[in-house]
Amino acid sequence: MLSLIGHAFSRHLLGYVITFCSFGVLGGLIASDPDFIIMAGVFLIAWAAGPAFFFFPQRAASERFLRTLTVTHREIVTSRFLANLVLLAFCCSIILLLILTVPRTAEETEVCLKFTCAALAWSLVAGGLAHLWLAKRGASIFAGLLLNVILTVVTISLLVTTGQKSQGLDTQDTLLVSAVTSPSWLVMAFLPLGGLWVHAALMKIAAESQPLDGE
Amino acid sequence: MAAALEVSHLTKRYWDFTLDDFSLTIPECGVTGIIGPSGAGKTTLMNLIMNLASPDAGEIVVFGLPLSEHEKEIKNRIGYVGEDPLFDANRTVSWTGHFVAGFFESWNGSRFRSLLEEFGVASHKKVKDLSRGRTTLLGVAIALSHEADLYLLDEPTAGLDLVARRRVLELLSGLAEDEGKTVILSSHNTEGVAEIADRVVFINEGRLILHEEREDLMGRWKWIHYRDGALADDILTTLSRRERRPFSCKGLTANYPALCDRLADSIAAGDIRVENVDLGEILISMIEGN
Repeated sequence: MLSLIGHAFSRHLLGYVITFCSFGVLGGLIASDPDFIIMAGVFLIAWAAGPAFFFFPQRAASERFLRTLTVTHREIVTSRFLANLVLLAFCCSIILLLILTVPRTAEETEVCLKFTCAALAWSLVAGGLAHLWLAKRGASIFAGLLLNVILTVVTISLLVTTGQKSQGLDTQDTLLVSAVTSPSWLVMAFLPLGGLWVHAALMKIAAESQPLDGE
Repeated sequence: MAAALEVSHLTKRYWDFTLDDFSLTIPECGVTGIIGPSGAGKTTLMNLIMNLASPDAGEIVVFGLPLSEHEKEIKNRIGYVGEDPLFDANRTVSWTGHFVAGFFESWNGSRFRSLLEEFGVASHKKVKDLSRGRTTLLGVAIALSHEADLYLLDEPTAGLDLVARRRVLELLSGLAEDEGKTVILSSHNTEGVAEIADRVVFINEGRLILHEEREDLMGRWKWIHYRDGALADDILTTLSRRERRPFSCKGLTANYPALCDRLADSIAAGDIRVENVDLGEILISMIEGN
């Protein structure tokens, strides 16, 4: 199982790296970064590279190859899930770091953290169950991809409406939470969405730290 | 004899193809050739046996164990060569062997290396640098190196040169004859099957057309060459693919043993000549008949 997890990890890692590379690019677009043109170019490359390098056809082929050995479909799904959990923990730690480092009141931070945890739990439970259901039915990778897209859209819609209206979170916070809670094994689906916040947050940190530097 | 593979009422539907209520029992030991035209359902059947696709209905039992409950145990006893090589193209041959070895309970590394050497597959080369034939041979070497009891091979000689093809068929035949293993190979080409198969399975359009011992099959199907008037009308009407030639006629019978006694005198007199039928001809006749 360890070698399977390692295999899945290596396969998914590239997708995550691409996602994080695109963070700054899209954030730059939104924040009207002066390096807009360069970032847009990098973003387009990342966008094209994501599907090309990550999903098709390598992952499908490699998992199919494993199944021609002694590996069962359930083991594939489990290892993919565990590998993503590790990567998800990495993403969460970065985003939590950003939540805690951006200047906020204690109350705002608490709301933000609670909201992140609740949304993450929902995503893991809903996404996990849905994927296990698909796995049990022996569904193809395309069905999993479609499910991830649907889950991502639903998650972000829920977060934006409930986060902004009832919790008083601003756009950056809801997008940050979206980045965490978008089904993590669904990197491609949240490729453009996940990148939104990190760069914007970094810009915010930079903007807020400037007066301090000037003092 | 115990069954190596039992397929019962297996159904798999795709938008453009259906493997329909398919049942088949293959006994342990020997070589079974599954043949049929392209798109007949051979690869679908192989994928279902390897659980690479889920059936819509039916059950697969391998060595008495239901596949749905004992997939891992069963796969440990299967040496599989798929139609399309799925190896990581950027890895070397030796890395691939090392990677695969970890998944099987028993792995014979020295046999793997000796097969690679025999097949001329350089272990330091990346898979993407191998020809199609060499990649297939890598798959065969892997399948033959983990002490399996059942070998499932989907078009194992596709893309191979004559020498390699001959050697692979010899190895498969040897597994059945010398080690008592069960070999199931599928092919749209009847040549390899005709050379080594003990049993023949015909599939067409997702349905089982025939499952028979090869010797019985070849004994049943014969070309009958006859002069006009040499055959009784009731025999003539049973012949298919009748052709009239300048000095004789010919037709195909699927039940030669039943005619044998009645034709004996004419054969002795030289009015009738009986000729063996190529397996491919039988396949074509059966497809046309269906």
